[in-house]
This record gives sequence, C-alpha cells and structure tokens, in this order.
Amino acid sequence: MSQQIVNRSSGPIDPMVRSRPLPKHSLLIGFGVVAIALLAFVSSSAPVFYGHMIVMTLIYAALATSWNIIGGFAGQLSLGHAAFFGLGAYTSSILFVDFGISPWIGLLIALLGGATLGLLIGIPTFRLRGPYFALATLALGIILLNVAVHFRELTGGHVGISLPPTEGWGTMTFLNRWQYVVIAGGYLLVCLLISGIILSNRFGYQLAAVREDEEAARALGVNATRVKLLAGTLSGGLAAGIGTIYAQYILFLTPDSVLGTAVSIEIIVLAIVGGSGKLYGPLLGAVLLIPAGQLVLREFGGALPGLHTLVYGVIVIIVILLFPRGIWGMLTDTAALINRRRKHS
Amino acid sequence: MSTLMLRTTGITKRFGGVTAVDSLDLEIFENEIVGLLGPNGAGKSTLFNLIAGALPPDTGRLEVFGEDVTGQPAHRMCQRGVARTFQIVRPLAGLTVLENAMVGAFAKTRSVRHARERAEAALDLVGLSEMVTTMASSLTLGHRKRLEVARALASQPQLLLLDEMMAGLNPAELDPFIEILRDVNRQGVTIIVVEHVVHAVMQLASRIVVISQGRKISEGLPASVMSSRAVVEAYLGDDFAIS
Repeated sequence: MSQQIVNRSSGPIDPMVRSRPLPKHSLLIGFGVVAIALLAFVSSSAPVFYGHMIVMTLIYAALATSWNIIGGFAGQLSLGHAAFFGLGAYTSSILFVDFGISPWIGLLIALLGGATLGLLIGIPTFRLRGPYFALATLALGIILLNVAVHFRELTGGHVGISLPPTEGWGTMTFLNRWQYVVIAGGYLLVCLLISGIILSNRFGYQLAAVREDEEAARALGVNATRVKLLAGTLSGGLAAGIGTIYAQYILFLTPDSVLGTAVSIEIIVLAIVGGSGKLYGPLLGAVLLIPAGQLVLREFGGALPGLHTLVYGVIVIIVILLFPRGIWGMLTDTAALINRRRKHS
Repeated sequence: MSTLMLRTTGITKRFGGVTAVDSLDLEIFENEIVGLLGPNGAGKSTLFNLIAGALPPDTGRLEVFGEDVTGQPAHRMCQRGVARTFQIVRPLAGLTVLENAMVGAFAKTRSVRHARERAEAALDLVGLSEMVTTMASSLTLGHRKRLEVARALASQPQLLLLDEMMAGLNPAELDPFIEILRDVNRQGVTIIVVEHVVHAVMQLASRIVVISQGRKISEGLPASVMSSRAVVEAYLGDDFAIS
C-alpha cells in the first residue's frame, strides 16, 4: 500500500510534474517590459528634468551592468570602461554623420568594435596574474581620450561631434523622451538578461571561481584565461552599444563626456555602491545615485560647482564602510539572516 | 598486474639553482593508495604541482591513463580525471559549500542539474551535506579540508592527489577523515597522499614512496620502507641509522 503511494507521487500523473515551471528569467522579462512601459508613459508627460533623469538612469544602469560582467562576475577590475562606451558613441556617430549609416547599424558595429577591443585588451593581460588588466584598461581609457582629442578631422577634437536632429525611428532620433526610455530600457533589459543567463549557467560559476581564487579554479578544471576573455568580450561589446544610444540621445559628443576618466569612475562607483557581482547591484546603484546626482546638480550646480562629485565621494565612502558588499549585497544578506532566524525559532 | 594510472619518466623541475624534483620515475597503479613521504623541502609539493599541471616540467615525461600529458595545463588535467587538493586549503570563500563543489563538477558537465547532483553526492560522501548553504568562508579548518576533497571528488576524478590533508587536524577529526578516504578509494578512485602525519599514512597507504632532495630514495610496503636505512638517514641524519 505504502509502495503504491510512493509510486503515485513520483509518477507522471503527479501534478507537480505536469505543471511545467515557467521558463527561466521570464519574471525578469515580464517585470522589465512592464517597468519600461510605465517609465515611457511617465516620461512622455513628466517635466523635462525628470524625463532626462529617467533616460540617464537607464543608460548608466546598462553601462554599469555591462561593467559588472567583467568587473563583478569575473572580479577583473576595469578602470577604463569609458573606453568602450566612448568607442561605441564615436563609432556610430562618425558612421552616421560622415557616411549616413543608420545608428541602428552603427549600434551593431559598435557592439562588434567594443567586443573586439575587450578581447584584444584581454589577450595579453588575462594570461598574467596581478593588476595588469586593471592597468591596461586604465591606459586604454586615457589613450582613447587622447585619440579623440587629437584626430580632429574624424572626431572634431575638443569641439566634438553634433548629430543631426532628423527625427524618426530610422535615425534613432526623437524630440520626445519616451522613445529613448524604450530603447535604453530595452537595452538595459538585454544586459540584465545576458547577465542572468551567465549567472545561472556553468559560465557564471566558473567566473565566480576565478574571481575567488584563480589557481583553485584552474585546479577545478576552469580554463580561467578563456572564461575571462569571454567575459571581457561581452562586457566591452555591451558597454559600446549603450554608447551609441547615449550619443543618439544627447546628440552631441565630446571626448570628456564619453571617454573621460570621470565616466569610468562613475561606472565603477555605481556598480560597487549597488553591489558588484550581483545581478541587480549596478542597476540599484544607478537608480539611487544618478537621480541623486542630478538633483544635487540642479539645486547647487550654479552656486557650488563640484558639490555633486563631493556628494558622490561621501556616499561611496559611507557605503564601503557600512556595506562592503554593496547595498544589494546588504539587502540579500539581511534577507538570508531573517530567513535563518525564522527557521531556528 | 593492474592498470597503470600514472607514470613519470625522468621528470625534473629546477627553481634557479635548486633542483626541486630530480629526474624522478614514479608509477601509480589503479586502486592504489600511495603515500608520498619525505622531509621538508624534499620536493613533494613540487612533484604534485607537476602531476597536476600547475607547473610544467623542465625535462621528463608525464603519462596519465596511458596518454602523454606532459605540459598540459591544470584545467586540462582536471578535465582528464586528475584532481588535486592544496596543501594550504583554498576555498572559494565568497561561494557556498554547494557552489564550491559545483565548480568542481562543472569540469565534466555543462548541465547545472548534473553538477548539483554530483556536488551533493560528493558533499554527502565527506559528511558536509548538512552545510550546503553555508558560506565556505565560515567553515572550520576541518570542514574546509573536507570541502577541498569534496570539490575534487565532484569533478569525478580517477586519480586524486591529496596534499597534506591531515596536517592540522585534531585526532577527533583525523580518524573520520581516514575513513572518508578509504571510502573514496573503495569507489574506484586511485589516491596519492603527501603527508607529514606518518602514522596516518601508515594506516592508509598500500604502498609508500619516499623522496628526498628531489630523488626517490625508497619505495615499498609501509612497514619495510619506514625501517629502511636510507629513509631513517634522510629524516634524522646518518648518526641515527643503525647499521
């Protein structure tokens, strides 16, 4: 009798087996699509300041999420991620302005260019152990900044590039903001989805192993050089793609606005404050810090220039002291603690 | 004669002027537990690193399961079925116990489900199945050593290299640990143990190889090796050797 019960509960008629679970990440996609729709609706009627805040938050969230793949998951600090962002922005803008190539195609070329650059910077540095990747990315950022300043015929030097305001989906240029919310939000969703897929597969476990202890990872069968290269390639490509979207939104590029060291630092700050290595950490960092930065800039920008960087610095110090695993890490740690307490009582 | 699992022929590794492993020949057969003994600085850990692919040999040849694998990198050796533990344990501190073992399991499978099953089986074998969600960083030394073994086992090795796993364990931890290794061996895993805890090796090993200054000085059954003149000399100096 008892044998029969056991058989039935594990057999094909078991309702738990029949009702198939939702495909992985469908919650993220569903929630993301609804959030983008809501934000697009809000931004279409909100004052310019808030619409701008939403778009900038989405752009920086996507940028920090792309950084997270190499900097967080793989633990390889990229100190010059603006290089990829700026490369993407300049690539599509030059193609658009000088050759009339649609920014959508420019976006694809930017993705490929950023991925190639990520691969090229990784090949000589990921074989070595030590801070060589961090140093190389730092140098890369500075080199590309100087290239953009120097090659005036192509980049306009310090004057920059102005993009034509020809409105339409084909030119990825709009007078209203909701379209940018859809594009940047959709891109952020793709970045999060790729990150989520990485984390829930072998690749994610192997990256985490490399981050924690590279020699132990190698002994456990992880081809550390290969997984780091793959992470660097993905991270560089995704960062370049959002550069194109930024350029099409602002319609004006200067070396400092996309390639500046301040941009590289901002990316790292967002990721670390939110929680680097965590799927939603960089997004949380951007949601908290970008609007805060914009507000400070609006309220005090005229009277106290530079205050916005000071506020940033203070927030970073406080977060690192109080929550070394980032705000997202702190939240998940607390949730785990409460869960354990409940189980014990 | 059982199958040859590992053969080194004239394997040599120099660090600057020091020859850590000096044209060493070693043969390990299926289902053996071989104890590798030697005084400090004898070259035991270097030999381990050579076999595990963590270091390339300067000269000599390394064969595993009948194939030449000289100069293969560490991750390739693990994928081929040679797993190792580290003398100083190296837990992936930011990951849970289960995740640690899963990384090992991923050496042989892409599937997350299979990796989890294999990791759970390995953790069960070493008695860590109650701690799957614990962070590796909060384990005691004894548990860290068990995790180290579980992680290596999850990669489903045919040859397991254990580097000083019993050093630092208290007597209460030692005996269960020896039992675990016997269990692993019974399941068909050939084991090489490097050990300072001589009595543990005497209990465990079916054969003992003693090296000193990078060379093999004695080899055979535990009891006969430990009483051999060359071994006593190597450990204590010639004055203590009874002629």
